[in-house]
Amino acid sequence: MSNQYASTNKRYFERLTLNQRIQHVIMMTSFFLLVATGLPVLFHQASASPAVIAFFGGFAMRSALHRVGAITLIGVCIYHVFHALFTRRGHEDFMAFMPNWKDLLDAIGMMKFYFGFSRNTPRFDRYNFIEKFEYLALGWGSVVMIITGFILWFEEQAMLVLPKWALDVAAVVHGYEAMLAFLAIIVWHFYHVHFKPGVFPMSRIWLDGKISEHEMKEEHPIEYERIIRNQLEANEPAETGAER
Amino acid sequence: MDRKIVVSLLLVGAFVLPASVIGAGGSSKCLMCHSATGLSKTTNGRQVSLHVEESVLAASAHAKKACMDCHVDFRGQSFPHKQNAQPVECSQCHHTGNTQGAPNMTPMTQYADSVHGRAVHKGDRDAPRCKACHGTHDIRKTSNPKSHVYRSNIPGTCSKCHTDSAITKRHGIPGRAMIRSYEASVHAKTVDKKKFGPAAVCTDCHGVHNIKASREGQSTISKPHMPATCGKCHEKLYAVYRQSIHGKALAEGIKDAPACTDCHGEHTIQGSSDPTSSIYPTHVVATCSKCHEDVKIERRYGLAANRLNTYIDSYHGVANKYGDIKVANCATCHGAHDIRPSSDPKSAINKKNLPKTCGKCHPGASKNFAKGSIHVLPSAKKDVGVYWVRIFYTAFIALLMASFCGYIVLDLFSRWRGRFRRDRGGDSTR
Repeated sequence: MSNQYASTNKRYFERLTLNQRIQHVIMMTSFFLLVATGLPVLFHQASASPAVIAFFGGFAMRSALHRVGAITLIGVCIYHVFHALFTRRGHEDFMAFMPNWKDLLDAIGMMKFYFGFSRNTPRFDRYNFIEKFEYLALGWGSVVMIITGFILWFEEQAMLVLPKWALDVAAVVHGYEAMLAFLAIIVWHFYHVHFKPGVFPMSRIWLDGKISEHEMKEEHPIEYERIIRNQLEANEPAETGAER
Repeated sequence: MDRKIVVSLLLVGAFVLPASVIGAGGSSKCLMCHSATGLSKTTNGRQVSLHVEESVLAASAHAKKACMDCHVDFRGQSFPHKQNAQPVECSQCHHTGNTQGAPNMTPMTQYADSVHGRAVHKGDRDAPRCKACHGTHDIRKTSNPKSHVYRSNIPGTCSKCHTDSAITKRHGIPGRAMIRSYEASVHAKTVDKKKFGPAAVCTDCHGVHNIKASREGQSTISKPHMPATCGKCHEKLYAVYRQSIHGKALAEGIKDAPACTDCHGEHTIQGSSDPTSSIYPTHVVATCSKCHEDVKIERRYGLAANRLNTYIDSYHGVANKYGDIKVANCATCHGAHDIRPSSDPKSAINKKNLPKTCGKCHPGASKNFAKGSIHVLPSAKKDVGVYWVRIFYTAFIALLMASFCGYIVLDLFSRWRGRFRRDRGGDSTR
């Protein structure tokens, strides 16, 4: 390790671009708006539901806000597809999210570590298997929610094609998938991103996009090493006076 | 005592005026005393005026009658009279075939068998005789707006006794609250120009001389007769109701079947657009459920169970519960007066008619609306799609959450044991 990087504890790496952070904030806001305006319908017999609906200004306003949330979420999803397809950064990140055999081995490796069969945790790249699972689950969940949501929103048009029982199924799927998504976010996502020891109470990455070198070494060693290697390779010609 | 005043007055009259037999036709002699405004007596501690205003009598239906045409007990008596007047017997003229052309006695016989007439017969002093409603010297024709029994004056006339808490308590009958609720009702507030007054007054429903308690079979407001009573005005609805499952059941003598007031209320009755109405869109569900969620009635007549909870769990039910009045309630699909069983081809909820029924709110509704249950009650046999999707998701969510939580516990445990303090050394840069 060269001296240049020996005292770099305060160095930061870019984990999320401003574009991605904005996508995240819009997705997050619309997600929680949808949850808050949707759950009182799913759990309409819960004692808190009337108060929540009253807070949003009555049932009609709740319905309108739910659709505003839906349009916003769909908008950010569509934007994200273009981002992943047509921007260099977006495409790289998207490809990095694709699962591979290493993720299965990493998951097994974590189990080995937890149960004491291994001294070390597996070494992760830019996205570990937990993050990949979350990303793909969010993608799949959004597809399910958008399709069933549109069926329920445009029920008259949907029933030109679908029988009544299919609408009932769509309604049930919409409700359960929502529960699944909500629980996954507040349990799985929140623990691994914000609540786990060392990060609690909140990671600031979603705000400033910066990850510390220490954290990079700990959580994403493979990515860290790749970056350092690339920088070293890029800097070597610089030291010989060549073009940067 | 007032009686002394009266007697002394009469004695004065006797000395001053030549004693004579009171003429059969003349009223002038009576008015010598009775025109005095202060003339009164005390009965049961209450001061009763004995004053008679000649103009009032002259404006009444009995203008051409003389005092003793009614007060027959004074005929042929010396003047001034010594005993008190007896109650006037109206039936001495108002009987069938009377020569004076007075309205005949049919109402009179009805009165005798009415709740009021029977009470009078038993000696109940609270019970109304003719004069309680019609007045005394001021009796006017029903068509005269000043009459106590003119249509728009009837609620006020009935209220004289029916808001008297002493009377209503003594007889255990509804009182002021009932009258107030009527006054706020659509029947009292809606003015019917053809009828010169409120759309419905007391007598329209309860009858006039034939008023009976609702528990009596012949009463106009007894359950079997009520639809016909309301149908006097609501003709079209009555015709539709009679063909409905409720109307037919009631006609067959099934007392549990709803008559008009079971859904609409009685004196409180309001139009369906009034938020206090029992048939306001957000109140319909509770109104129907009074019977349709009654386990005894459900079992007795083999009614389909779980109608309420399956509705409440639907989007219609949830939206209705939170005050959406456009969304479907029971009556939107099943009808109101024309409710028929789904097996009836004319029923709005017959499978063949469902597209049309749903189409009232969902324009262009196709046959697809009839493919599946409306009241979804999932089981392995019915609504299987919803049933299996629920089972799948319940199991999936349970498994996933157990895995998530298990993983988190393992992670926390490892961190607590300090096993994450990695000593990678040269490993990190390899």
